Amino acid sequence: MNLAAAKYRIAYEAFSKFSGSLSRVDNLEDLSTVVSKNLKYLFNFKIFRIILLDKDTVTGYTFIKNEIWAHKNQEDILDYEKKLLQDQIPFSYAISSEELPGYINHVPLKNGQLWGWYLPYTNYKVCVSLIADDQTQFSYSDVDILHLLVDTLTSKYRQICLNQEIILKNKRLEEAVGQIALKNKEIEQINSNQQNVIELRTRELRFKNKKILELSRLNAHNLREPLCRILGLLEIADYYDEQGLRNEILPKLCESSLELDAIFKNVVAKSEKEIEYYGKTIGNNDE
Amino acid sequence: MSDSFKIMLVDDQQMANFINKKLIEITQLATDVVDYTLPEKALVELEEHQPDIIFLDLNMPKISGWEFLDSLTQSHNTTKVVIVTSSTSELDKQKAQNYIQVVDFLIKPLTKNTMLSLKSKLRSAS
Repeated sequence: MNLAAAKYRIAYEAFSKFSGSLSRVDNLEDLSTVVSKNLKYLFNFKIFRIILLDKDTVTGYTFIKNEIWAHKNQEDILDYEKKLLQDQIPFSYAISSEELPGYINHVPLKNGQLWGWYLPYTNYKVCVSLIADDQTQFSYSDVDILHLLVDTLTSKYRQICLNQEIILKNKRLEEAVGQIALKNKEIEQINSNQQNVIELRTRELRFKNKKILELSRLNAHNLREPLCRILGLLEIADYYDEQGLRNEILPKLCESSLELDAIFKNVVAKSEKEIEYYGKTIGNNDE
Repeated sequence: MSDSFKIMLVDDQQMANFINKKLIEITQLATDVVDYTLPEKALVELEEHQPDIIFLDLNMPKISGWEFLDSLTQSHNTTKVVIVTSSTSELDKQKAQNYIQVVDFLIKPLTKNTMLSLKSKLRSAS
């Protein structure tokens, strides 16, 4: 087995292991951890950076030995990356630690070499860069496996983003369904209340009608009693002399008239009370 | 119609009895009149008086005219009854026909003329 074949086999095995670990990842934090752990087995590097851009968001990671830096902002894009995004032309040139931003300039470089690639995907623009040096040399033959890594990482990233979107949308959908159910319940409640109000008012009106009927019947009867007595007294009045009229008939006429008056007053008072009572219970619209 | 004709008046209003008594006197409908404002008392003393006819009011407290009639029916008493009421209800008139004792249904106020026509009605019946 020659050296190239052996190297290829090691890279293949490392990549299989990496893919296996990646398949169990379901969030961005684990994604960067898995990449960080496996990266060193795939190719040599001192610093590895990947920036994923879609319409609104910037997601980026910088991997150093035992360190991961996550990037979320437009400002985190380095100058050479901006140029790369614009020109889209891969490059490779010498770089020193001093040219790097604060969080990665502690990495010692011996004849540092910066490599950069621009990779367009359907939904993302991806900018990959790698810094190697004399101690950890990046070989041009590792570009294939680097591309493979970026493909896998990008598709996994996309899958995680879509999953999160689906989860979010499902949650919103569930909330909406919950809201609809709640509103339906409210509507049912309103309908049922309306029905109850109608039934109640109908019952009240029926009761009221019955009451009025009873009242008018009772009034007619009660009023007739003393009235009949007055008429009866007048009927027999002819058969009394003046003395008899004064002593017998007139006091009785007076008594019956007063009684009739009292009954009238009572009827009016009672009717007013009833009207007031039903006016209150049924509402002004019904009166 | 015999010479002695006895009428029992049952009305919770003393004045109604007074008027009807006078009308009976004027029209010479009866020679003997007993009056009661308490129907329960009238029922107890009915046997003692044995009237030819009872003038009965319907609307009375404690015992109504209907209950008075029911009581008569229960004790198989067939004394003739003339209902004298201030009620103009047709329902009452129909109900009265269910009692064999009831011979007439008069609405207050009674007049000389109603008394006289009752008199001739009773005379032709006897």
